[in-house]
Amino acid sequence: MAEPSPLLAVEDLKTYFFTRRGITKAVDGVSFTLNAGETLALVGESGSGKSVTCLSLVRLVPEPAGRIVGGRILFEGEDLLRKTRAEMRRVRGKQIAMVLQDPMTSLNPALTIGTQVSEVVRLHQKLRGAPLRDRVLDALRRLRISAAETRLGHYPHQFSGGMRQRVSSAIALSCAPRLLIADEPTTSLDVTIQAQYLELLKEVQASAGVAVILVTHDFGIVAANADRVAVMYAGKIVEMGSTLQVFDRPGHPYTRALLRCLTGAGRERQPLVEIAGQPPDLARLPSGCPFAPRCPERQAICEQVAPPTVTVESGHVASCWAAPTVAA
Amino acid sequence: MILQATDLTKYFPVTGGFTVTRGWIKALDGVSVHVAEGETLGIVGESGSGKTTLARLFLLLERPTSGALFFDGKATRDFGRDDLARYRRSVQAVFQDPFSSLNPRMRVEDIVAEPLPPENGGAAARERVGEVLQMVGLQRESAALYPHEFSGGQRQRIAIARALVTMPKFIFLDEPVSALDVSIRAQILNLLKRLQETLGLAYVMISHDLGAARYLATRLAVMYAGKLVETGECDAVYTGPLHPYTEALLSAALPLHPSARRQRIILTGEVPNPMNPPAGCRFHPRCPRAIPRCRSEEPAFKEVEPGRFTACHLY
Repeated sequence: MAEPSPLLAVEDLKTYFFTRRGITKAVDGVSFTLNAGETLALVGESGSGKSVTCLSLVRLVPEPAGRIVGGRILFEGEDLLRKTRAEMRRVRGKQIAMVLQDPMTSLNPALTIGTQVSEVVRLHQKLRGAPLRDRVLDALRRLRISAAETRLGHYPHQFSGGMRQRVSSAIALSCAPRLLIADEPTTSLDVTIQAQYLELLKEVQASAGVAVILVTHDFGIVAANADRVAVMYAGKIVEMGSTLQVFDRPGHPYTRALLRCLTGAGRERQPLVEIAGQPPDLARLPSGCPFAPRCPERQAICEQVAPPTVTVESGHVASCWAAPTVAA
Repeated sequence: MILQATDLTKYFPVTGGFTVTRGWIKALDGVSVHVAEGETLGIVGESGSGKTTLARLFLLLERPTSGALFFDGKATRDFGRDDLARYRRSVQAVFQDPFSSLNPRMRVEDIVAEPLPPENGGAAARERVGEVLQMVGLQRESAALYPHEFSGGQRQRIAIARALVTMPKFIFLDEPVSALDVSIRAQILNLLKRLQETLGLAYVMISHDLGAARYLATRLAVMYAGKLVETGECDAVYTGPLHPYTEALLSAALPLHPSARRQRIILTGEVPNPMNPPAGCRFHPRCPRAIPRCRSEEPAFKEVEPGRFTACHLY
């Protein structure tokens, strides 16, 4: 009895940057799977490797410094790392689309919105003329861009931040991708606009059946939108599980610390628990667990041997010597 | 000592390329607030609500179009040289982005010593710089380094040290943690709180992060499209918001737990164009509880419960 194969299976992905200061292991042995229609949140601080993981999935790691040095990325059963550049171009934008953090820099300020949305549809769907226009309008309307016909001729600066992010998303979703990678899509948006965008993303995702990898540093966004979470630290996934499992029974001290320093509007005023120290230098990682120098629950072994990834409960793993394991 | 603004208004001209004024951006429209010694006033609102303009007026970086600022009972517009020097020593600021607020070509000691008056230079200044660096949790030796040698959180500590060096009474914090990583945010918020307790500082904290604002603020002022919509004790506003905008803003904040997902009020539309704000109440086009009167008549800002002010026709 075989399980349905996942839409995306990443196995032991390694992306290193070769610099004068040495080898920076930005992504160091990351594995996860994603089913169709599911939302996986990739959480971590700057430098944890979450953005490089995403860039690796679409093979856009900045070369020549950065290289994917190992692993497999199985998308619908095919290894993306074995595809040629031309084949990858057909995957990008059509089957895997991306929304980036700042729509002000991801949209071209010199081209109209109409040109920018139709470019993708024209290339991937080979449409022209009226059908192309209809498809573009349809894409904009789905993301609630009002008066889409007149908006086609407008430039990015004529849109507000929230609308620009919806235009970016319209471009990403215009060719009905199977996977959407959203890299901090709401970081530059206001609170009420962020809430609007996250709700809309959920709606569009449900109706189009697209799987989403949501990159964020904010556990609030995870709580709002994600089905599953992977917490990254120093290029590795240190904990992964369903959103409820990770919130209710975090297995890694780093996750626990992040959850404790979450400041929420609904939270009573209590002293915030700090995580001491700084994230590590990826070119000079300690030999044992990378979180050990900052970890309040550090033991002798943590500084010597990297912890194994253990199953905390079904579908919930953590990489920690002290993680509670399921009774065998 | 008290810092007070009465009926502050700031309009920015919109020019059509040359000097022809085509209209006015009403960034701030009749705002009155005060901050007393030792308290923290949190100012929350979205982009375009006027919160940063308010701070810039208080820091004397802009002149108000109308209205007045008072420091210890004296209007800032009547300040002489000495008053101004005293004001600038007493009122300092920490900005959002520690990557752009520190000059990359200056050493930390010069950055931190810059607000000190030139006459107390030399050894005394160096001593004071070392002292404030320690207060913010940095080594005295960091004085000789340049900003690029520090991480984001450490740079924000340098910016805080610079604000503390003149022994101010008031510090304006403009989004002090929003450029920082989550784990570093808690460090900086705790540091700010500790400094406030030991030095008796008053903060004005501008933020769109309602969680961070709640952590520090004792009183809260909510702004929308250049106006105050609600003020009150922080906890009272969070637990029982009066104005529908405050309610929506609080409910739009992200949940702390996945189980709290469903109970959010999602506002439609966006913050209005400040050149042409809606007639009546500026929030009425997005307000879920608008009544006909909201479209035509602007609500007055009034006390509806002891210590609770709001501008809404529902009260």
